[in-house]
Amino acid sequence: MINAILLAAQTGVKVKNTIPAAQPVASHTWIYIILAVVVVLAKIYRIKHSQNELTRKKVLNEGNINFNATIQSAFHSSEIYDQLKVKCHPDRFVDDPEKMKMADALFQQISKNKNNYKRLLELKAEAEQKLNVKF
Amino acid sequence: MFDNTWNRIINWFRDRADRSAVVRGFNMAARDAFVSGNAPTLLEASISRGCSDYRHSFSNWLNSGFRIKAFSGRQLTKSEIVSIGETILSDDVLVRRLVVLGWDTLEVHCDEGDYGCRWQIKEFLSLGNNNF
Repeated sequence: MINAILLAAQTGVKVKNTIPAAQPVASHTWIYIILAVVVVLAKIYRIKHSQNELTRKKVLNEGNINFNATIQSAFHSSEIYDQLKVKCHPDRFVDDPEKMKMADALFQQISKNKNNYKRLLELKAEAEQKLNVKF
Repeated sequence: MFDNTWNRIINWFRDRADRSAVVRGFNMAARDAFVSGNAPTLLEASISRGCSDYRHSFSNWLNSGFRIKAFSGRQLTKSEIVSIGETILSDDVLVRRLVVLGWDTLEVHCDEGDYGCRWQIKEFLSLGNNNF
């Protein structure tokens, strides 16, 4: 190109501009679509995150965890549960319908709290009192 | 914008502190129970990688396992390991706290032998109104 210009300057001939004209800017449709998708995803993430945050705060404010009871239950609950499930089984009170009803309710509680040592101790005391069971 | 980012940074650190508090609380209670003779085996909690199949919406990106190691000096039987795990999972408050703090896997194993058990914590949530 420079050579052509120099040659043209020497010879006095006009040189046509051979550089192609700039193309018109391509449409930005795709960029807008991508931006819209990003905005929607950000909104969804924000909504989900805010819901999670609310649940998190609610659960963390529930109170302290009693690890001592959990650890005690891990080692001692099975022993007391085995005692209670035998001694308080409703089939042992077939002769007395009232006691059988109480034993049934108690047995359900025992099964429900089979891993809760503290509650099992309370149920043991209740069984001794209501069903006259000796351990 | 700045406030939001700042709050997230604060929350992240608070989250770490809460997780550490749970692990530390468990370890202190286990140590006290062992020293006082209430527990025949020393338990120790730690954070592990967890199982990616057990993920939920609160799961941490990394380290989503709550691991309990029992220093028993012998290979615990499966029923003993299951008993420890089930006791922890039967505590509703603890389970909800574990889920919310980003744990999704509970692992129990002992110092001897090479097997243990693991549970998907989410399965043991008594859901109520919460939808995890």
